Amino acid sequence: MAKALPKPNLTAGSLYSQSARLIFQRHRSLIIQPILILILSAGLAITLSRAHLDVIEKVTINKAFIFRAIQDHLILSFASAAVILVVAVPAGILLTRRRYKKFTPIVLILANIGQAFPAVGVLIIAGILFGFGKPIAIFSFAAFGILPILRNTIVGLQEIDPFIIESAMGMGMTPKQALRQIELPLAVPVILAGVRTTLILTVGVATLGVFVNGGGLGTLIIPGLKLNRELVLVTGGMLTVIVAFTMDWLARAAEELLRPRGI
Amino acid sequence: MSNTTHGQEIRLEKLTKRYPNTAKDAVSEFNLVIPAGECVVFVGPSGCGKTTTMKMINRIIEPTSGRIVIGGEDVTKTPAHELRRNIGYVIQQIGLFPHMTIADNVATVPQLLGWEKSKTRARVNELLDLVGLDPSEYGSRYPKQLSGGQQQRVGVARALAADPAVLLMDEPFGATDPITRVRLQKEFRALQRELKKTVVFVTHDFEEALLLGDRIAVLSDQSRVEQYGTPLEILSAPATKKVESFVGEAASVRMLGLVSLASVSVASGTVDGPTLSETATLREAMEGFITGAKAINIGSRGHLTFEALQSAISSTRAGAK
Amino acid sequence: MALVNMLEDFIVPLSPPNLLEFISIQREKITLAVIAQIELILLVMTIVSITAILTGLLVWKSTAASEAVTGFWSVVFTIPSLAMFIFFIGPFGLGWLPAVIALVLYGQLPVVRNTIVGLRSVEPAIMESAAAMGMKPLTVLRKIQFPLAWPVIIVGIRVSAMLIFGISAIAAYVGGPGLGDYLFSGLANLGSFNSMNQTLVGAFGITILALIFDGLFVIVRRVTTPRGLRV
Repeated sequence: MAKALPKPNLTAGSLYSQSARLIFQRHRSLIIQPILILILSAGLAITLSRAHLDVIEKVTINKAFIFRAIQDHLILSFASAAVILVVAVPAGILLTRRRYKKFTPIVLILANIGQAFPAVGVLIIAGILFGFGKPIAIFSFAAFGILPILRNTIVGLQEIDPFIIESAMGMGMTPKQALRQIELPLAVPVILAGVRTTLILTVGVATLGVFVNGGGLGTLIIPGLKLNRELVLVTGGMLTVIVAFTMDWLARAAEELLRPRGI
Repeated sequence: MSNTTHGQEIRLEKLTKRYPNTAKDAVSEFNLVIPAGECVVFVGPSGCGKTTTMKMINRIIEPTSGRIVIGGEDVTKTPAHELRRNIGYVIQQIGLFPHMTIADNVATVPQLLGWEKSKTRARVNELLDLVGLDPSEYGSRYPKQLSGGQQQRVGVARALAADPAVLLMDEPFGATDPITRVRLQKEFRALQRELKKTVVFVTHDFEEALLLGDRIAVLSDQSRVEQYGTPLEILSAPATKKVESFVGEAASVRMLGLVSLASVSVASGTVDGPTLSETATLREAMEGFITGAKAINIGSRGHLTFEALQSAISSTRAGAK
Repeated sequence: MALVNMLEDFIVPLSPPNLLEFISIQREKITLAVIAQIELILLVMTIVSITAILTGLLVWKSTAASEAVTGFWSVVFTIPSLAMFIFFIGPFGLGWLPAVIALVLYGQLPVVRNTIVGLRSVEPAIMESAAAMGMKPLTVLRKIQFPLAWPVIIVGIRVSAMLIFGISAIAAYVGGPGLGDYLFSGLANLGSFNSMNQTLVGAFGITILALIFDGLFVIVRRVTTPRGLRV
């Protein structure tokens, strides 16, 4: 085609400043969130250092106990998130392939029903059937989280513009090449969002791990409630919030960093 | 461009598509020979099966029965992805890969074919130049940073990347604004005259068909060929009522727009009056007379009088019929 | 009570042989819990719908305000539910009130977000032509924009209601009303004859109720969507 076309008025400079502004807008919440986390942590630390703890409070409010609770909480969250992702993402990819497409409506209906089932119900039923402990907690959280994440993955993959895939096929890619070079990279944002949603979900339900002796930050909340110690209760609550915010922030930062350019 | 592969003949024999659980064929026993190096436009109302027919040529839609022969070779059973690597494909939705740069998009087929990196890079630059996009400026951009018209130029460049003999285009300019569309059409026509690919071009816009087609196939329901001929033949002698209704009003005036002044006989010497180039059309000459010119200079070849134009017009009609 | 019958029909075949007996003995208590559960959800969803739609109406015009509001509620949304409930025990003690407040906070995000998205997705040309015919801005909002956004908003309310159902189970732990009680009784009575029965009644009771609500929403959505917008 003719070479004498008008140049677009996007010079390199304006493009740069435009994207710089965009990056700031996008990352504004990424900057605010850690500040919020720091303020909450500092507030909690100051409150605890000033408080006069009675004997009961000292059982839970001490470094060893708190670190153990956080550590367990992270184990519960990451392990169940890992199980969910390992099952749900490949299953989501499979269920959007032509051969297995016919099963997606069933999965979506099941996911809809599943979303109304209370997490704590899964946990308690599993506890009664299989006994207590961390593995049971991880198993129940994973069972609770798989369907919603599977649905997110399927919906995300279905949203990829069909014409992009058609043009990939039209250019002579085999279905495998189109999946690897086009569909999966385009699905990266969906998968990353899935990872984030999964983590938020599992960090939240991990507080329930205490009900089946699975540990986690619930071990601060429940005794605080039972023994009527508000300081323990609030410490547990605040730590849970801080951990949840931190995970959310890390996951969102990862999302921003890993998203392919151009999308 | 150096060593361009010219087009190959496409022969479609009894090509049929029937979808499961439907009463009649979407495309029924479609026969057509598309000569090498020509641009053939499928034109017809929406739902007539023209796009389905085109998409059967690279088997994005697999034919139910019939044969596809390209350059004398039956490709009906060739592995689809191998066939497609030798056929350029441009669609209205463009379908650029949003996560790849413009250069990577254009390089897709060369990479699939396993070209060397340096050869691919040179080819990408050549093609971006060809479609009027500066490689150094646009190569590293992403599709969403380009306007719709620019994206479609990239779409054309990408389809031409591996120098295919055949190009399939499905309403490629349909989604652009009217001004951009006309510009892209003219650029594409110039490009096609240079490259001489075999092009199958689908549109519902008859004006576009007249402008771009060496031949036009007017299709109706189930992709039935109502008429297959040059734009001039279709305008001057519509074969059926359906073609007539598709051609619409003012067919004769449109016809004048298809004939260049190159073959018109002129009186020698220049006169006082407007000048048209030899590539201008009878229609432009007619407009010149309507706006008051007594005679029109045709390049430096001589001048055209109104009487000469009249006889040129009547011989055009006779020739077309 | 229909739900009690449904529990009998669906859950019994899957469960210990004495579940049927358990349900019929507990019939009255279960019925009360079901009613309390329905009341809780209706109360929470009424408050959520009013507050969140109002918020949406106030901020949709400004991108910055919309982003700030959805950003705020999505941060609140990441707070684990058990933690959220206990924050309101301090000021309000155990019981209904902390449960309702916490649930209302959880319910905001889907409704606020869908209200904003819904109002924004109405084509400017439609509102412009309404204004051009002489409608006042508030009339445009009331007669044109809001009805057109409504199908999107009600989807938000539906999503919110489903979430609230799931989380309401935990509200029972801080003394909130509803079927969640049965879940925690099941846990507390672990090893006893009826612990599984109690848990099943709690978990499936909530799920079945939620699905009934979901079905009602489909109907409500159909009835309240302007005819021209129905597919």
